[in-house]
Amino acid sequence: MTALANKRTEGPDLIKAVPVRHPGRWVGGVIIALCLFLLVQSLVTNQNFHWDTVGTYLMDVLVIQGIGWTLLLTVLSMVLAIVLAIILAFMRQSDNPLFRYISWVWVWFFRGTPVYTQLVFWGLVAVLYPKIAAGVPWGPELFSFNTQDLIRPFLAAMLGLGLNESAYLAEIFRAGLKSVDAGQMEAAEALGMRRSKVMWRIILPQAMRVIVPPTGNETIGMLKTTSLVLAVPFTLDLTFVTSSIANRIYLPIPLLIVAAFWYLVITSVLMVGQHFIERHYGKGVDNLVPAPVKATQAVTAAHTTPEAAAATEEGGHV
Amino acid sequence: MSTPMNDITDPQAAGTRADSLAGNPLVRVQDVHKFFGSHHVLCGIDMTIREGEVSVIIGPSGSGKSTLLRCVNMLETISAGRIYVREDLIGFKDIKGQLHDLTPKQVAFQRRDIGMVFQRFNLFPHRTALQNIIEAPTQVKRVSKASARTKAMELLDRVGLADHADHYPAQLSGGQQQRVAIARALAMEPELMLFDEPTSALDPELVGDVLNVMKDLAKSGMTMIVVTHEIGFAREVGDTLTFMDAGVVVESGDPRELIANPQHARTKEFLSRVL
Repeated sequence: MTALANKRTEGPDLIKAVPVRHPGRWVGGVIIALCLFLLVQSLVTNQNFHWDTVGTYLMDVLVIQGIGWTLLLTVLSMVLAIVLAIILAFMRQSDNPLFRYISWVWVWFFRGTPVYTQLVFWGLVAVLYPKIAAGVPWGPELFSFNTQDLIRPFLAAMLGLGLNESAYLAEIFRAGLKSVDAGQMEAAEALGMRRSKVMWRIILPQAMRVIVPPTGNETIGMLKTTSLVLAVPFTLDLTFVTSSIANRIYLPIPLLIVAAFWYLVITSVLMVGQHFIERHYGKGVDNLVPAPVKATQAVTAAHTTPEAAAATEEGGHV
Repeated sequence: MSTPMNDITDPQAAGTRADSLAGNPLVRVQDVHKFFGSHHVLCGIDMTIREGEVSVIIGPSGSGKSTLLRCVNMLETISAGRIYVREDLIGFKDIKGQLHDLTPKQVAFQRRDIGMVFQRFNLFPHRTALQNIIEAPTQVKRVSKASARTKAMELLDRVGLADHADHYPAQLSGGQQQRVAIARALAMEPELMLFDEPTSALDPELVGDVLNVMKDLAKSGMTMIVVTHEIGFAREVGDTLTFMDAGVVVESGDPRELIANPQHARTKEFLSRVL
């Protein structure tokens, strides 16, 4: 025992080895720095970039409004898509064969047609159905309204983007739900919890760990897909606004830079948001310290002998 | 709540244990069969477990012992026969001799009174130990969060983990996780506890802690069905020992007698391997 105690108290001679040198990394670093320098130099000296024009339009009121519409479209379409995707993924896992079938067909259709086509379609819905009426089928009509007034270009764009995205997200959510161990469902059901409650409180929160990263991907994808809404036509988004300015002043390149800059900024903000969402749903699994040691315990441990510390470790209190 | 039914620290309970064994049958398994496809897993199981009895089931893997346990709380549906807990037919409703499937709501209701402990613990990894325990009482029984928490802390104290309440499962050893899982099942105040190889996934040095909790639970008068490989536990705590093989009960009886003097060749062979 004393020999063991000595081993715990005596400080060992820590190894101080010479690390392996990596000269190749230094050479590579220098080459990359040189290339970067040349790139920056060309960006600054090449007059064709028209940096002054970039500066003029970066904070242009039309551009800022375009950012607002693009963000609004991205967020609302994603919210619509996420709500639909959760419902579709739950339906796909349901005992009810009708639900499973409907979910499958939905994904098949919206994933199988181009988003551009869908956007054009939603823009033309008023041509197909000029009037929407609610009432008893083949019976009296309760109320009705003109489709042209209801489906505004913004709503058409949101529906087109959201419904298309819901099909992709449904598959991501389904993969997430499948990734949760079957024992979780059994344990929760054995406690008398209803299946719907188990899905919502036990399975989905764990699935979110797997769902969030690809959904972040999809959100960033959606941000850029909003540039297709001119198909509706919806003409207030960032891409349309910048390209119409470019057409007006005959300088496409500086306005492409303006658009690219703002898309990058928004993407960066979204990535920060994703980081926090991931941290929330990783609770209990990712980045766990071995155990939250209370400060008082640590102090006590530091002042006790190794033998006493060993005796109070795990299992000592049963 | 002044005298909890499953108070495992109650010294009085140990004295009344022998009397309670003369109690009413709590679980009646009658000629139960189970098929997985064409595979006949359970071939006519009959078994009665009385109130307060600790019934230990042993047998080689694939003998159907875990399947039988899972049938008792409908994690599997039986193919033939009947299982009753108290007077309730498990999994079905008998209307004029015709069985009807229970609705999901009715199944969930039957499961409330049956606690289950799994080989791989199955704690909810995104919830702390305390949150794991209060989940079912607050969500299923609509107990207030405050009183569920008080009760959960009592249970954690009984399994020796009061100071681990805020730890996530990943921060606990296997033995600690299993003790939290037992506390989680007890929080619903079940009248029957099912243990499906509760120590099989544990390091040998952690098995003892879990078995001690189960022993205390048995002393408190809890009715338990335990599928295990721990022959020592069966001998010390079990009231009956059942040996299953290939979907049938080979023999059943007093654990000490059965272990000392097995009647069937198959039982002898199995015991000689595990002892």
